[in-house]
Amino acid sequence: MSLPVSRRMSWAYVLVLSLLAVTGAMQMPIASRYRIVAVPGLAWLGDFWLTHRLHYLGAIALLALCSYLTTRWLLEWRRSYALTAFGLVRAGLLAGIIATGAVRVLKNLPNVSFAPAPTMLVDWTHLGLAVLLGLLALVRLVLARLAVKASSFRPR
Amino acid sequence: MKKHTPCTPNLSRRRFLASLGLGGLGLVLPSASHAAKSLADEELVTLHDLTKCVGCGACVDACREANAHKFPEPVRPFPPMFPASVKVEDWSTKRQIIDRLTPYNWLYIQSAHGQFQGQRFDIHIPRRCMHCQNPPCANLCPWGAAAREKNGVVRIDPEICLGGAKCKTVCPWAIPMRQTGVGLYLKLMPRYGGNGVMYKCDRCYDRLAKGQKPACVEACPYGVQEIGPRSDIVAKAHALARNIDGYIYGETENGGTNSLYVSPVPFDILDAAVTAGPGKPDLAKAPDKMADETRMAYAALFAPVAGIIAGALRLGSRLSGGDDADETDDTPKRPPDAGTPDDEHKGTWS
Repeated sequence: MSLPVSRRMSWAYVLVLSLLAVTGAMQMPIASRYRIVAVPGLAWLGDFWLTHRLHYLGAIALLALCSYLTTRWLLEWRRSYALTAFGLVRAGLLAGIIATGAVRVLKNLPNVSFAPAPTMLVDWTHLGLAVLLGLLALVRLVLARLAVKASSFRPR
Repeated sequence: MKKHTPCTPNLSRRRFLASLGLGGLGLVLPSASHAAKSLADEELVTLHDLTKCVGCGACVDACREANAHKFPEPVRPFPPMFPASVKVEDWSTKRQIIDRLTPYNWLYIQSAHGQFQGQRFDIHIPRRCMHCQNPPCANLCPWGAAAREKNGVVRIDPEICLGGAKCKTVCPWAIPMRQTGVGLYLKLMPRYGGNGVMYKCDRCYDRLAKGQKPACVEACPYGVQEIGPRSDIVAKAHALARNIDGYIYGETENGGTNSLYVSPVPFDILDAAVTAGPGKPDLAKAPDKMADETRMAYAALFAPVAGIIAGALRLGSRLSGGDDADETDDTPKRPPDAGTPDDEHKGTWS
């Protein structure tokens, strides 16, 4: 049986999440300190404003992509495909990342003030969930590779 | 002069984690995070009438005295940094400096001399944090250490700040100043992350909470500064500018600040006349740094709507026998690790 999501859509997801991961990590002041900016082609990672705006753009793309796929799943695919445990956890992590990101965007609007402690809670939850999503993808990739390996050695 | 009481941030790991937990309560009850009542509950603005300032420095002295208990007392020796090229910043041996901003001097007098419309001018400008209405320092701090409070004060929490200095990089006036050897980073990974604490004017938030005026406002013998609700002070600034045929700085800079300056000389002329550089902010036009982010935030509201419409249209297209590319050649094969279907007719999607 084939999966409902096209290869194009899968790559769009990977690219958007990669952009968000890189620009999100660069919100910490590490690009200059650890001389990442000295690597040819990576000087832009030291521009806080550029990475911040790219993170916003990536977030907009992720929102559009997630809502598109969720709509299609609800309207079309739900009857034919069940989410695996991995899929459910991934959906939950994405929902958490989007929710905490939305709170941070709200905080950055004019005339909106949060105290430092709630801001820190939101920032760290956002970062933690993103790390978990990355680890989950890694685990799934390794398991998929192992499964492929096992099937290729299956006795006739 | 008051006795200088060292105020070394002493946030333990346990307290730090507890503050994260309590932060959740703050989200649910946002109003509880700003307990200060009276004057501190409104967005307050300071107005500087530059026709009155003689540059006596009484405000600078008052600031240093009132905030001495907040000044850093660094621990020596400083932790070695990685990579070794990372420089420490130590102002603790130069506490006497008053002609620029430092972690021990949050306000200084900037002077501009020159000629305007054939007349000589000597303008003195008390400079400190502008307390932006939508401050980049607070919005881009990755650690949540800088925050704008409801009364318009923009403050860096010395118990949370790690001294990464991003706030200084994104500030249109590069106001915050770093002191190494102090703060939370010493308790985390001092060699690999952080480099001290950033310091700047907190507009005497503690005095405001008690219903008092900031020390610089109160100490000025010439009444250069006044503080009040934004609508009142903006109206006063415009009235003053009309009276003296003068100019306003700070009302629209960086999208609006809570520090207004009124001068009889245009600020572009003053900007050219002042000495600007590290610790000495300029008076240039400052566009709204957060404007793009604000526009994108509103654009983000439409992204889910667009996604839902696109998904629904796709279904409509399929039902009417249109394009079905998603499930043709472009479709990947089912992964070998796919889970167990709910029933024998269902596939799985991970």
